[in-house]
Amino acid sequence: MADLNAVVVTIIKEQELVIGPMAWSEAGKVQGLRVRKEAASVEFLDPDQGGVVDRLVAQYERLFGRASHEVCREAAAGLLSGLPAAEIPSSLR
Amino acid sequence: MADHNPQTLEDELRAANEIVYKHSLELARLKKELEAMNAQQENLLHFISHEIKGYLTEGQNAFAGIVEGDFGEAPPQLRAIAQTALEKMRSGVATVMNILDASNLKKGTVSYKREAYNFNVILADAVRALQPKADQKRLVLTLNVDGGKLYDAVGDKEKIEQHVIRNLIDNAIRYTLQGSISVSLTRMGDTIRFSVKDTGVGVTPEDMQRLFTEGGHGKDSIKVNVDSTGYGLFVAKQVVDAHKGRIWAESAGAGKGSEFIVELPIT
Repeated sequence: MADLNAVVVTIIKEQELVIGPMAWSEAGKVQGLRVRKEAASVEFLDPDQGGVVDRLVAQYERLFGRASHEVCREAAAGLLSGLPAAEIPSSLR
Repeated sequence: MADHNPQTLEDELRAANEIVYKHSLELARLKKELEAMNAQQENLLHFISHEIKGYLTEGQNAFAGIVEGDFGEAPPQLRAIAQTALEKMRSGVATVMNILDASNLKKGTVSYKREAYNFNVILADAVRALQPKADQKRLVLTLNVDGGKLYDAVGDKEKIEQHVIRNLIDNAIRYTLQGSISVSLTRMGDTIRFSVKDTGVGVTPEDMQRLFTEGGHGKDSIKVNVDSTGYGLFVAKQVVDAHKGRIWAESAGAGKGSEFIVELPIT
């Protein structure tokens, strides 16, 4: 099973390199996700963690377009390699 | 009348956002690449400096052996040549050490001792050691200590002596073609204030900006001091900062001399 907690933090941190602290505030708007910027950690409030990841990716894409989707995918690639496709959130496949 | 259709405005805003994002992404990637290249360069510099220091030290020992007669009495001409070579080697080792120290400071691999020492004693030692160099250039080097005060302090005595005191006095000698160098020491409350004032080439406002930065020697300083690495003042500032002190320079401009001032807390 993929550690989607680490995937989400990695995505946010990668986005932070591009858009700064806004990466955390935008992640905080995603339904089913609680973010703690100071601790650089997140917590899933929705059992459908894959769905939360998809909503996070969509949140960035809605604001910054296709390029931001690619950034999410590239950031998570290392953590998801070797996993069966079924375990990978659809937005990151 | 301009079209203020909300949908159009939103689309335009989204497109603009996307463009800004792509530029930021490009910058972020370049920054990453630059950081990786800097780290590589830093490691290479460290490696090369370390290797060169080894070769120079071997050469230095060999020439010192000739000068000191370790291999039997050398003819006067050979001794003179060896003496000159020895001085060059020492200067080379000092230069490489400066670069290595700067590299280590940047990497954060330098540890500082906390030992009790007397600032007045190490300052007097440094002035004494550099007196012949000043004499060689016919410069008047004086030490003025505000008497009746204690100069006991705690810190890394060796680094303060080598990288701060000697560095500033040595610089003053190098960058002063004629005139004098006045080294002063006083204490204000819990702060030791040490300064080196010279009648040398001075510092332009432009050079003042990069004086304490890495590789930041003055625009024309290489003309006066061919051995300038640009790391001396950078290292001095790192050492002073680590002791929670202050270092700065004052100058009325090119050709008008300069004064370097250091303030260090006693503990």
